[in-house]
Amino acid sequence: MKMSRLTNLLFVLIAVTAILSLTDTIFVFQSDFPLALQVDGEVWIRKISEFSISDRVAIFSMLEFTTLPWYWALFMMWRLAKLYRDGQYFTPQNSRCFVGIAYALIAMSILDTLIAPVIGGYFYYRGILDGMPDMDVTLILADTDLLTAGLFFFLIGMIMEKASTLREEADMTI
Amino acid sequence: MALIIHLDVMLATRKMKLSELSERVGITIANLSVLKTGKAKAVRFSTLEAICRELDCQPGDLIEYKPDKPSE
Repeated sequence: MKMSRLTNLLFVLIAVTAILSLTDTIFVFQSDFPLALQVDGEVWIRKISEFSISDRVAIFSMLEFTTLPWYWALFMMWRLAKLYRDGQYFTPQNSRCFVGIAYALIAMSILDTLIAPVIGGYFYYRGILDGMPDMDVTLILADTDLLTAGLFFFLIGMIMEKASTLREEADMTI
Repeated sequence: MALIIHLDVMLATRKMKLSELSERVGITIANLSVLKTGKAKAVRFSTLEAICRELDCQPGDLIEYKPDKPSE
């Protein structure tokens, strides 16, 4: 497959993913999904409709805050595809895009780990919960896949930076 | 940079234009300008050989080493 075709396909996929992610955001706000937390070893479940509007907005904002890095990662991918379409393969901009994706993935892993205690803390502060939710080791380990991917993209970003230096040297060799 | 390129001096003493040298050595004017202005990061031996051949000079006539002043 030619590079231009691949980048065009990537543009379409990024656009579709962004639209679907936005649709998912709207769906989350509209739907009456149940929230589940583990408190003192017991599962605590409550539907969104059971909360007041101000609580609903606060929960929605906290949940959607975790998806912001994903939009940043998509934007970085879009920029990267644009650079590849323009024939710029080994430039400092490419390196920055890879590092940007890496930061986004690392941020997603941290936010996904913190979301349960943050929401639990909010409920505790509002008097909805009697105690803070349990912090399980599996909760922390569950997002190591994103962290691994983020660190890998960070490594690629550093390699791309070296590649851009080599490219510059090659260009300036007469 | 500690290396000074005397390509412009060599061209002037031989009354040769950059475009003429470009044609003779088969290197673009843009690349020769990069070399002349000292922006080049490296010079290939084949390029140096071709320039020395056409200008009838030694590599030392083209490149001079002048140490940078140490920063205080």
